[in-house]
Amino acid sequence: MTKSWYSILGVLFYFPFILLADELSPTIDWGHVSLFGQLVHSDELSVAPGSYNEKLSDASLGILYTGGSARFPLLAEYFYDSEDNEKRQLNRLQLGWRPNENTTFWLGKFNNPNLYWHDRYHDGLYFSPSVTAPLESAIFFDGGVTAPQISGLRIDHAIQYQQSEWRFNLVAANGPEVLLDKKSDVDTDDFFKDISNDQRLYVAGLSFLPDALADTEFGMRYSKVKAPWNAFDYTGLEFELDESVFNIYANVEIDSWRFLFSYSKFEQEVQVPNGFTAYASTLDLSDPINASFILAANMGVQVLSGSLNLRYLHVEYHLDDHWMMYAREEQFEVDVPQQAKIALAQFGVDSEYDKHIAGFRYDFRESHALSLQYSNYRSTISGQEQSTLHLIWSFALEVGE
Amino acid sequence: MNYLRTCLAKMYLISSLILGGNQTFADQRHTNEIIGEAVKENIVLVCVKECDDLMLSPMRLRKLFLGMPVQGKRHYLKPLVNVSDQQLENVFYQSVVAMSRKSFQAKTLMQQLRFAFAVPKQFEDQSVLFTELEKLPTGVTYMWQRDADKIKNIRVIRTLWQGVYAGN
Repeated sequence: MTKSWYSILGVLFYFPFILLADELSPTIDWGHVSLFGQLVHSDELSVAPGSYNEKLSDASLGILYTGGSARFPLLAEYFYDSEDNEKRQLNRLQLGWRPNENTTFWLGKFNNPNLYWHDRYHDGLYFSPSVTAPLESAIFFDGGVTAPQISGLRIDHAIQYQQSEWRFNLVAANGPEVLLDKKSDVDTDDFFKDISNDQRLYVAGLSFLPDALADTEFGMRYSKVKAPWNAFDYTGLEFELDESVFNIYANVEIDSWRFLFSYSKFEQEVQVPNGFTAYASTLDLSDPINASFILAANMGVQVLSGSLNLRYLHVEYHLDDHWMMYAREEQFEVDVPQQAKIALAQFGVDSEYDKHIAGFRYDFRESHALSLQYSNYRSTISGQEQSTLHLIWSFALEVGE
Repeated sequence: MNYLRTCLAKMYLISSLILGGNQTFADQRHTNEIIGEAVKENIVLVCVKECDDLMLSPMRLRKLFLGMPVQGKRHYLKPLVNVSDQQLENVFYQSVVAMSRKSFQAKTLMQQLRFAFAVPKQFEDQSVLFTELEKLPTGVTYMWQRDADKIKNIRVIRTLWQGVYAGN
């Protein structure tokens, strides 16, 4: 029996609980389907030397199903992308249990909540306040350092005091096969992958909302993961990563303004596997890409360690119910001495860069929006720059409403 | 003089509903003082007779109608949004959830996306709402007092709003 069948059986087993819990309802609620789509056209206005100008169009659609009852909620989301096959997947499948109105247990596959933006805006692209996520390329995709989705257990709990609310969340999940060329930790087939291994991801979050029903929030998250490091798969050796991520954020709404600040620090350690020295001795000395491996092997290094700093400030101003303007300043930095940054730049690795974005959004009809965004990326070490213009149409639709 | 005062009060009330300002419970009390004897209709919060004794503070009521889970004594309550006339709809957005229609739609959809909270069901036909409510021991809705008086199997939890019925 494949792992997909286990997933299907899991959901079928869960349905009787939903029906039993909803015994007071005269009719069975079979749930609701919503569609969240976007069409993006990107035009690179200026490119780094050696690159070429690209015009890209990309359509994507998130199909969301929510069902069950208040006590046993169920949520599933499939994501389709017209250009990227690897993004076409079951993004989320969550089975919930809500023993009281302030506590929810989720079991299944869900977004990695280790960073605020990702937890809040990853799904439902219509709701994202900008075309691109902050430091997206550095964190998740195309060279990212953490998994966007994970599978395991998540607990959300809230404590109200007068109008305010404290929120806590805890996650224990499978250690995701992180990184670089991986879009997610698990394929659908791997939904119930072997949980007997010692690879784990833990996340703890705490936040405070001065008004429990408004969006202003101050919080912090801490996560720790032990997982395979797939970036060096081509070596044939198994590298293992220990990573801890600390994220602190403030999302403040004042009248028509919104200020969102976030600072994240990633601490990483990669254990050097047995056989590494023997492998390094076979490498071509004249190839600069091999230099760091050869150097590490010659120095007898057991652990490769490093850290990254990511910060951004996002500001929005709502002119009225239809128009919104926004701007964001993002900074990425690898914690290494300046000489090392210059050396990394020679291998094409940007260890320090700034990104500035500015755009506006026009909301129309019930739930449609058009956004125009200008982004400028600049490496502070090599001085290379790249500017992109994005035009996007996004929408949210409730099917059958 | 009384007639003039009543007319002014009606104009104030209707214009405030049409313009869609954020009328709070305090504002309503003020409005009711202004309109004095012109107070003719109440909007009441109701459930079926056999429903739990509900102590719904304005905050918990707002949570309930925003689609967030709110428990009665034993079961989760089900909000039924009555939009069968324009005035009820305005009172819902201004006094119950205290936000614009657009913000309400965005908030409920976002909560569905993030937490699988159900979007509250809206009823444009009051007879369909009555039928649904009578079958639902956990259902909570609101309606004009005179409509609630006509239904036997119903219990008024409390008065939600006092004002003038503008007709539709």
